[in-house]
Amino acid sequence: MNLKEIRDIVELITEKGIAEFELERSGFRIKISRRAAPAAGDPVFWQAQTPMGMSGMPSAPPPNAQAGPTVGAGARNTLPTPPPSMVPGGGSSSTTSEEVQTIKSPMVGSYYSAPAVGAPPFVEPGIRVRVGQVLCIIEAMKLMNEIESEIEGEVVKCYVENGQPVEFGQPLFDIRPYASGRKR
Amino acid sequence: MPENYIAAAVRQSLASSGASAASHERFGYPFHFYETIDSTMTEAARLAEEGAPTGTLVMAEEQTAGRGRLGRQWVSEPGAGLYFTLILRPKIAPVAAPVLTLMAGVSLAEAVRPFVSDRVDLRWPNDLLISGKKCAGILVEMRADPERAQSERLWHVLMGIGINVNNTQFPEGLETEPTSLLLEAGQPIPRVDLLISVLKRLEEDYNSLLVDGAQPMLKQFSTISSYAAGKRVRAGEDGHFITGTTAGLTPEGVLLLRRDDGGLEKIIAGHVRPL
Repeated sequence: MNLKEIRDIVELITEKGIAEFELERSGFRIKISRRAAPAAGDPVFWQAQTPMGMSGMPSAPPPNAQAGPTVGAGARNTLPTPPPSMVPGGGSSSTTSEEVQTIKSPMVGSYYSAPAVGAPPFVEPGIRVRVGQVLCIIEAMKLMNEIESEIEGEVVKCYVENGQPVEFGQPLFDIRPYASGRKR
Repeated sequence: MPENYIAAAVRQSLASSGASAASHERFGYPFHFYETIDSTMTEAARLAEEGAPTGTLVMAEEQTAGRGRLGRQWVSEPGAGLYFTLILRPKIAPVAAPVLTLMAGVSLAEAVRPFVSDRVDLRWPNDLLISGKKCAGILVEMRADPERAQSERLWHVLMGIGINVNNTQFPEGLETEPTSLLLEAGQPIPRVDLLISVLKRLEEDYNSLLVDGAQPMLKQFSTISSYAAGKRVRAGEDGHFITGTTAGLTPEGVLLLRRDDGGLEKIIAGHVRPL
């Protein structure tokens, strides 16, 4: 199977909204999941023994960081090709049983809840957000990525503290869509 | 009101520096100039929301609210430096975008090099240093276009650049000692020539990055930067630091740091400072 065929499959499952796809041929297996958070045991794409937060390091490593000395991290862990669920510039989202949509981080980086040090946060639980409204900033290598809401609704949960490192696919917010809100 | 002489000179130089303005995605087209503005980043964000194309240049002689990362102030001495923002719409995945910040540093370093006889250095990810002092700041922001992002992966990057060219006044209390090209070269530097040179480098490096990938640029970064490997540094911010020796870049441009106990860290955010 070549790269073009894989790309075609990714486009197809994206188009059809398929959550998971697995194909096995002799000596070859491909699995594509559109659920953003990698399952335990899947290869981690980011590994930092001491995550570099901005305004505070977490006391525990992020969910996908492995314990123990980080050896050969550069060779073992490479940034992954984004899964098809990834929306450019914005976190991917998924719907849970209560119709709450979870906005997930589209990239590895440091999480900022406010545009500037000491400024009020972009959003808090209870805040109503519109499509395109900035929810937070994820910084990687001094690229400041403004994460926008893809839906109109009410923020019901903020998962991450200001300054903490986040993983690819890590939940950032739960947003309950308004009845009139629609996914764009 | 007649146009500012520098704006006229930039337009003239852009027009004579290559293909016609009608050609696609030239850096510097269209060109928006302001004598005074709050921030070129803010104006560029507004233009980008209106659909401004790759290469759109927003430049000001003075910024009253110039900003750096996370709302930090960027002081823009009127008429002395170069303060501008470029709008880019790269067709790459957002996870691959951070390398653009390193690219901007490399382009800047190469454009500035002839004026300061080779004393340029890049402090990861993109602080332009001359003789160890900071000469330019780069702020890169990216944002999706929610109207079209889902179908076309259209989004934009704002590349804000402030270069201390003929600056002689600097705010007190900066973390890294500032300098300007004037101070380092010992003579005034023609700003229009430098701007045209910077735009040309950025355009070439950007197009190469999209076509050839990041590896040639990262190799160049490592050649320029004394911080890429073998330098004793501390990394982090706000009192949370680790120390070690830099050990090269990953294929994504992430800095590797070998801790004194032998462990290897990837540095993705926070500052890197010499020990």
